[in-house]
Amino acid sequence: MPALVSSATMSPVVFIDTCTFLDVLRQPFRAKDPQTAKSTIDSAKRFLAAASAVAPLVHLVTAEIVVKEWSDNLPTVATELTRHIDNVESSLERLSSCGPLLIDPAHIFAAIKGARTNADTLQPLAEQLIAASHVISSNPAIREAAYNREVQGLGPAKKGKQCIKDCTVAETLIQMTEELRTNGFGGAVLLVTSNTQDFTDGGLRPHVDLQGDFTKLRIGLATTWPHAAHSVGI
Amino acid sequence: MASLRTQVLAGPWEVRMDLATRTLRREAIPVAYSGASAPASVVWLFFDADSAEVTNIVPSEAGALTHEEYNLIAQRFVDEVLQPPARSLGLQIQIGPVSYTLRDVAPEAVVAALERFSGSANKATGAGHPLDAARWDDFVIAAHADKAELGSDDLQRWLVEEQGWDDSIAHELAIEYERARRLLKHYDASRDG
Repeated sequence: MPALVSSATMSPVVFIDTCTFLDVLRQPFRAKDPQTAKSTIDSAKRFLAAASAVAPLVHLVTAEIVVKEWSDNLPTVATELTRHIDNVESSLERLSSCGPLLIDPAHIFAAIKGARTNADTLQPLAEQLIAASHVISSNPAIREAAYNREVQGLGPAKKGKQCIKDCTVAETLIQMTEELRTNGFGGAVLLVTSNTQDFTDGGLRPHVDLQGDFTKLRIGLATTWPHAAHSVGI
Repeated sequence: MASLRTQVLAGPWEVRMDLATRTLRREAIPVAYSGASAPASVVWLFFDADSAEVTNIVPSEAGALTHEEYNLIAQRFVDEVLQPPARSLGLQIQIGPVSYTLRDVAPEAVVAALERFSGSANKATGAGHPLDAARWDDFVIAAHADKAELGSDDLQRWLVEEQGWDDSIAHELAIEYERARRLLKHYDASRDG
């Protein structure tokens, strides 16, 4: 087990899934309201500060496969974000041309420029969070357990679907926590994933096939950055 | 089970024991489906002491099978691979229901209340409108009153797959449902206590 974690104090260990890192960039076009977007980014920044402190208040952890998935998905999500701002700009220009009140093009330009400036900070924030995270490499035991989970159709695997990535994330978390608990770590361990379809029972509880391990190992679950911040008290 | 295993290994579908070279926690035979009616997939047949079960059918390429494709492969596996040896060995094959509906996990009154909500709600706002909220509350109260076994996972899946709700709004409703059921249960317990 990584030295960072085995030598941890009682500071919470927070395991981040791919979608949660990607959510940092998705907020401008996915959040249902500005407050949710702001709260997400604020929480992510608090996690970064807490994890980067000389005596970390929280230990961010992720799986090797998450870092790969992040890299694979980043171009698409970054393009979506850029396209979203382009669409907002086009809409404003169209609305301005519809009268009767002409919107000053300079105001549109300034607002869009501000939006792009804000958006440009999101990818670096997510990348800093990943850089602040301890990355757990896969190993034969994780790969074997993930494979067993998939072929037996046990959540987060789904019947009729290739789910080895999600199963690898789940087994990395379980193996990490088993080792932490064996080594006497009594602090909080939290999974943060917004992939509620695969990792939850539809609500706020883990998928039924994960509930046994989560209960035994005392692993908490959060589905958003603000939810996670509340759960670990930062 | 040993005889069944032998006959499946010698059966008409290609056995992919190369996929079982990793350490499996139970004995299994992976069998390949390669028909034209569904994507190439592997049927995983696991064995216990006195039974065997198909635990999953996994597509060979990335992606997912539709429910229809999954059920088609399962049925053909039964007909072509399992049925002949089962008949000669006197084994019984049980096939789960092709599908189940909300009525399998909730009484009619609860399903009707949910259908009233989903049928008239604005799917962009969930239960945001007061009339939608009232119909949603009627559904939750009905589920509580009937002690319906309907779980938030089935609710979310029904909203998305059968009613066309957006994933994220369906998830929010599922969480709201779970919270409301918990609150009502707690309220009952506090009154009884």
